[in-house]
Amino acid sequence: MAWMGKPFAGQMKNSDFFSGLFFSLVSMASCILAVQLGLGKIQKPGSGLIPFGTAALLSLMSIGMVFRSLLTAKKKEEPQKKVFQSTRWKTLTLVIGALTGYGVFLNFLGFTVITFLLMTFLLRVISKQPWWRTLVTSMLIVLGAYFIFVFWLDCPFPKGIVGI
Amino acid sequence: METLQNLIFGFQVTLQPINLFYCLIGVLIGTLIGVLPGIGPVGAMSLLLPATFHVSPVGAVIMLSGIYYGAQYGGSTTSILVNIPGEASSVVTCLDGYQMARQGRAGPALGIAAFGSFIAATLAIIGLIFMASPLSNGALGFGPPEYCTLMCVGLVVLTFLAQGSMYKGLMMALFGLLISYIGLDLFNAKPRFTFGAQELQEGVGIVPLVMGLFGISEILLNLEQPLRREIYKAKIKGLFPTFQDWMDAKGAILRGSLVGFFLGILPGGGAVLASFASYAIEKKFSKYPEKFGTGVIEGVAAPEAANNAAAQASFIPLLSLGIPPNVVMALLFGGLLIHGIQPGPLLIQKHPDLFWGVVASMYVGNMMLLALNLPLIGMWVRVLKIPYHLLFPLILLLCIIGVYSVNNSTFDIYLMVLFGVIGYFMQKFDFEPAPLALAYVLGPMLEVSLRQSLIMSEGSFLIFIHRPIPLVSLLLIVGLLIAQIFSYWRKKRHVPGASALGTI
Repeated sequence: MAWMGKPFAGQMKNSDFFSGLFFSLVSMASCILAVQLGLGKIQKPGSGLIPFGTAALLSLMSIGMVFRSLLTAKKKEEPQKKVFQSTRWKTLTLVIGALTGYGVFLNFLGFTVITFLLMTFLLRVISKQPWWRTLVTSMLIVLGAYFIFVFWLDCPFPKGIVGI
Repeated sequence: METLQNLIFGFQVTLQPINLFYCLIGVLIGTLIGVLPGIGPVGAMSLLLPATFHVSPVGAVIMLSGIYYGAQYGGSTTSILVNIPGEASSVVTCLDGYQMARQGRAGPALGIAAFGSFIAATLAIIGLIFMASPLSNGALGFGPPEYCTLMCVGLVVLTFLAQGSMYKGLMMALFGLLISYIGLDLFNAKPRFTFGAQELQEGVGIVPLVMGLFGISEILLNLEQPLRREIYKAKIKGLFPTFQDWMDAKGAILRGSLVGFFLGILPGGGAVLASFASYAIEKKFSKYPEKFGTGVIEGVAAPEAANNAAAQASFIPLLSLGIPPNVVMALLFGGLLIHGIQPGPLLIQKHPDLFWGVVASMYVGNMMLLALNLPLIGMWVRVLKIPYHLLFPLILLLCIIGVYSVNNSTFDIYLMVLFGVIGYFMQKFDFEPAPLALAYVLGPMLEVSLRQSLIMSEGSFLIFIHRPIPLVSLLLIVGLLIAQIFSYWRKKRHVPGASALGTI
């Protein structure tokens, strides 16, 4: 839950250096792109003027964050939180990969087949369910989804090579 | 008299069988997602948004709003019985609700939560009826400078009230604005930040953005910290609070309703803030503040009344001014636009069936919720027993289907995954997604009103000072920023070494 990870909110961390750096890069790139779009005049703003103003403000704030985190780190004033201590990188990568794969193969394999494969993968690999439960649950979910979204709501999902 | 006639018209709209059905579906799903930790009303609403495309606008809004206020009821069940808040707005209900359950008073706790919610919702609906119309009439005279500054107030207040740092909240709002600029320029149809991608010409869709930020990222976070649930096992009895319970809770319900109502109207406010504020106020007003947290009924009644009153009241700025005060309303705003309805001061005049139908549906929906949450409590307890590792693949699938069915485009699935990853990292680095989402929705309106204001004034920013509403709004923004900086300096004096960004 979003609010569960809050005990460290309100503390300055080393992680702010990296997030500040990220937003500095994004906002500076946006500034350049906005200038290329044309700023126009203040009396008649061009397509890039408001985006430029927004990106410039974000740049200033991000740079401020980077500097502040450097100063805090130097003074070693506060305990550092290990941001990714609880992250399960393997699970994270597998889930993101599975979702992306769903998008890649949806048109080719069709809704029912790719949904069955995704459910099987998540239940077996991530949830570590026994094979029989994985297959039965995946089958039931696919049947339920097919009935509700294809049969009842008439959603035009791709049928793929199998044709269902 | 006219209001009464309009209300009767609203009930005629709501009591049509099809609208009653949508209302029931909305509150049922709302209660379900409220009970289930791991998916909030924003995720559920964005999930169902595509499904409402085939439905009439009135039916769609009735269903979507039912999800929002239904989730407030459902959230209390999980807080009281499991000590895990089903919704962010039910966090404080855990404190006394779970203690009451441990003392064998789960029934009265659930009862007062439901009845308190119902009373608060009723009072808020009455407030909504009497406030929305005059407010929208007043807003007819608003021009671009008024809208521009009011939207800025909304964004700044949201970041001010955010749980984390205001500095980071403002950064998120700016980032959200930048995302909102992607697509064709509304003035001259020139593509901006599209990098040649045809799919980005119409901008980033609200559904992949919200679903990614609030749905996928939440699942990714939950997967690394499995929720431990110890469900209250004893039989739940005595759902109807005793006379003494009513006497103890009546003041809390009324104060909670008032606090919730006003914080609900406030831009950036909403149910979460209302529940926290009302609990704090109740503790302050109480003759025995030291007992709070040990299972006092006021500690359940006040936040539950407040979050429901706020949920209903937050419809006021959306329906009368066309400005969504929080992310849930922003999603509803997007839903109305998809249906070709422009929320704003003219909405009540142009679509009376929608406005009065939705108002009446709230009352009907709240009665349905009372029936759903008290006699059927056993069913929701059983739902709570579904293990998360079986639930999350289903939630992921619903997210994919919801996103894909908007445009039948796999590109939207990739966008959702991207925003899911962004949301995950944002939460890891203590950046809140709510200001980003609200700024993204307000972005196009904000840009148009700012550019129009500048054209009107021939490039002079004095237009924002020469008019009363923009001037007051700007003063409010400056005041909030100064208050925050002042609070930082005060803290720094007391705690040497406190960091600027973390506190501001």
